[in-house]
Amino acid sequence: MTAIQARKLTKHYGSFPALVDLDLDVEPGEVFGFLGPNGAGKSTTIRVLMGELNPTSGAATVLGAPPREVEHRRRLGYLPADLALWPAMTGKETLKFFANLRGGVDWGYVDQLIERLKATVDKRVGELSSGNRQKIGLIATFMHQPELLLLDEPNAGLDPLIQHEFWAMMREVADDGRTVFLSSHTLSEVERVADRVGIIRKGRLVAVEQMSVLRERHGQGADLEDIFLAYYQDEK
Amino acid sequence: MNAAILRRGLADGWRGLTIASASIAAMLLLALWMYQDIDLTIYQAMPEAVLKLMGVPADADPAIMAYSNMLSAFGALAFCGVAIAVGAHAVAGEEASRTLHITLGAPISRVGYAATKALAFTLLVVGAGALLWGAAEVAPHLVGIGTGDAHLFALMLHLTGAALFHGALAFGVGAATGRKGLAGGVAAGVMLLGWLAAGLLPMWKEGAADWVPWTWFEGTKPLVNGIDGGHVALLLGGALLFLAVGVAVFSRRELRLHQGGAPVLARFRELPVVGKLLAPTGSGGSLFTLRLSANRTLLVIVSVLLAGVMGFSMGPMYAFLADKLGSFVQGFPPTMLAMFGGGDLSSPAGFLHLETMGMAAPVAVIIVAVAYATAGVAGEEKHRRLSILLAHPISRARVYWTTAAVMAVAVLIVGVLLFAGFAAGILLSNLDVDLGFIAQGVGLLVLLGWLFGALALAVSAGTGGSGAGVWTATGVAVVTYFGATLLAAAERSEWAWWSPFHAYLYGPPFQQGVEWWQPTWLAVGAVGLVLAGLPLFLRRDLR
Repeated sequence: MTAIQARKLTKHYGSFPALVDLDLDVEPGEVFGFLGPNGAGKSTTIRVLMGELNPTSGAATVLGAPPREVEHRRRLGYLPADLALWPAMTGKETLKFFANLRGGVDWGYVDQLIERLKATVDKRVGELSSGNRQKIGLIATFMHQPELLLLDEPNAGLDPLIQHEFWAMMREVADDGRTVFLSSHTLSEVERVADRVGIIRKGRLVAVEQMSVLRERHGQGADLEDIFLAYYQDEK
Repeated sequence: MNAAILRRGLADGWRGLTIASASIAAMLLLALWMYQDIDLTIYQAMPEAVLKLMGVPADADPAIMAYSNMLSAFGALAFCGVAIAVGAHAVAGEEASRTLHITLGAPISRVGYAATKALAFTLLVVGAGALLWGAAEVAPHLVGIGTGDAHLFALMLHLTGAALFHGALAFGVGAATGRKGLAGGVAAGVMLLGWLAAGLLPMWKEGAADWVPWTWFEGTKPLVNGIDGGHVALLLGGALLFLAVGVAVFSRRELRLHQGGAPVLARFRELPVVGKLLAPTGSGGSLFTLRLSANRTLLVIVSVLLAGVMGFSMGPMYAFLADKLGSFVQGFPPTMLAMFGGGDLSSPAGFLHLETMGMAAPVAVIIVAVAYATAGVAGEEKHRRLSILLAHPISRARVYWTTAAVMAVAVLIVGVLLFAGFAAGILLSNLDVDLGFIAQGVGLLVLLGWLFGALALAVSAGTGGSGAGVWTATGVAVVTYFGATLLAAAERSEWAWWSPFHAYLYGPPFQQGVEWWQPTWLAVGAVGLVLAGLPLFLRRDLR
C-alpha cells in the first residue's frame, strides 16, 4: 500500500495558492525528503495530509485512508513544526498521555528511545529547553512504531550527537519497511537519510527524484545544496 | 521613556478599554431610557436626605439612579476588570509570550521599559475614563433627563482612580513576579472582595469598610457629594506606589523562561495538604482528566469563594442582620431590587437569592463554564497542541464532546458545592427556608452555566478563536442579564422571554420553587447550542 498518495491536491488561502496540483506517491520502506524554502507550501502539504486543512480541490490518502479519517492514525506518527506540549506535565506524563490515546505502547521500547535520545522525562515540559522538549515529541512520534512518520522540521534544537542518533532511527524505520516523510531545511540531514527527494516551489512540486538520479543530473560532485540552489536560481 | 514601547503599550490595550467604555456607555443609555418607563413616583415623595442616601442628587430626576447601577456597580466592576487585564498583561503578558526577551535585546533599560509600560497603562485608563465621562455627560441630554446637582465628573474621577488602583496592582504584581495569572488573580480578588466588603460591612457597623479600596471609590457617593479628596488621593497614591514597586522589582529580578511553576509555589507544594491542592494542573492520563485538571485552580478558587463565602456565610449573615434589614429594605422599592435579581430582601430565602444568586453565582458559574469550554478546543488550538492531539486516533467529535462533558462536570461540581454551602449555612442558622427550593434554584444555576458554556464552546470551536467564545458569551450574558432585569424593573417581565436570565431568575426559585418551563428553556438552549457548534468544528480548517 502506498504510504502517501496525492492527486491534484490544491489548497488556497483565500485567493493565494499555497499548494497547486500536487501529485505525489510515497512508498513503504523509504525516507522521503521534502524540501523548499519558507512559504513554499511544505507545512501546508503536511497539514492537509493530517486533515488539519481541507483541500480546495484534489484528493489524498494517508496509509490508504482519507486524511480526515481517524483509525489509520493508530499507524501514524506526527511531529508538527514548532512543537507545543502541555507545560504542566512531566515528560513521562506526556508520553503516558499519548500512549493512553493510542491504547497502550511497548514501554520497554519507550525506555530504549529515552536512553538513545538521552531525554529528560521527570521534569515538567514547561521547564525543559527547546531541544529536550523536542526529544519528548520525537519519542511520542516513534514510540508506537508507526508505519508512517510525518516529521515537520524535526531536528529543531537537537545537539549534533542526538541528531546523529535521530538520523539512525529514521534509517531503521525505512529498513524495517516503514516510511518517513521528512520536511526539513537542513539539507545535509536530508542528503544523509533520504532515499528520494521532492522539491516544492511556490506551492508546486518541481522535482521528485532518487537522490542518486538528482546527483547524476546535476553533475558529479554536486551535493544537495547545489541541486537545491539550482532550482531556486531565478529567485535569488 | 521610549516612544516605540509606548506605542506598543497603547496598541496592546486600547481596544479592550475602548470596547469596555463604549459598552458601559451603551448600557447606561439603555438604563436611563428604561428608567423612564419605571414608576418612580415613590421617590418623588421621599425627603431630600433619603434621596441622597439612595444616590439621587438634589433637583435631579430619580432616573439618575441609573448612574449608580451602571457606573458605581456593574459598569465599575467591568471597567476595573478590563483595567486589571491591561495592567496584568503590560509586562507579565509580554514575558509569558516571550516578546519581552527579544524587546529587551534592544538598547533599552529595564527601568525605561517598565516605566514606559506603566505610562502607557496610565494613559489608556485615563483616556478610557475620559471617554466614559463624555458619554455620561451626553447620555442624559439624549433621553431628556435632568441631572440637577449630580457631580458626574466627581463620579468619573473616582471611577478612573479605582480603575488605576486595581489595574496598577495587577501591573505591579505582574512586573514583580512575571506571572500574568497571579497578577490578574490578586487584583481581581482585591476588587471583588472589596466590592463585597464595601457593601456588607457597613450594614454591620458604620465605618467598618473605611479601609476597603472600593469604599474609597464609591463610599462617599461622589455622584451626590462630589469629590472626596482624601479617597481620591488614596486611590491615586496607591496606584503610583504599585507602579513604582513593579518597576523597581522588575529592574532587578530574573526574567522567566519557562511557562509554568514558580519557586514560591514550589515551596508551598511541598506542604502535605496544600501541596496536593497546588499540584501542577494540566496533567492527566486521559483526555477527560487532562481537560478537567487544566482549569483546576480556577475551579477550586471559584468553588471555595462561591460555596464558602457566598453560600455558607450568607445564612448566618442573614440571621445576624435580620433585625436591621426591615428598615433597610423599606428604602429599596421592588423596582430597585429587580435590577439586582429580584426577591424579598427581608425574608431569608429572598436574602439568599438576592445576595448570592442574583449576580455573584451566575458570574461565577459562567466564568467556570466559559473557561472550560474555550480551553478544550480553541485553547488547545491557540497553544498549537490540537494538531498533535488529532494526530492520534481520536476524532474531532470526541475532542468536542469531551470538552462539553468536562465543562458540564465542572459546573456541576460548583453547583453541588454551592448547595452544600447553602444547606450548611441554613441548618447552622436555623433559617425557615425550603431546601427543596434551594436545590431547584441551584439546579437552574447549573443549567444556566451549561447554556453559556455551550455558547462559548460552539463559538470557540466553530471559529478556532478562544477570544471569540469568551467575548460572545460575555456579551450575550451582559445584554440578556440587563434585558431581563431592566424589563423586570419596568414590570414587563413577560417581554423578557428571550433572555435565559428570565428563566433563571423568575420566581425567584428560592422563594417559590421552579416552574417546568424554566429548566426546559435553559436545557433546550444548552443542548441546541452544543449541537450547533459540532458541525462547524468538524468542517473547518484548523488555525
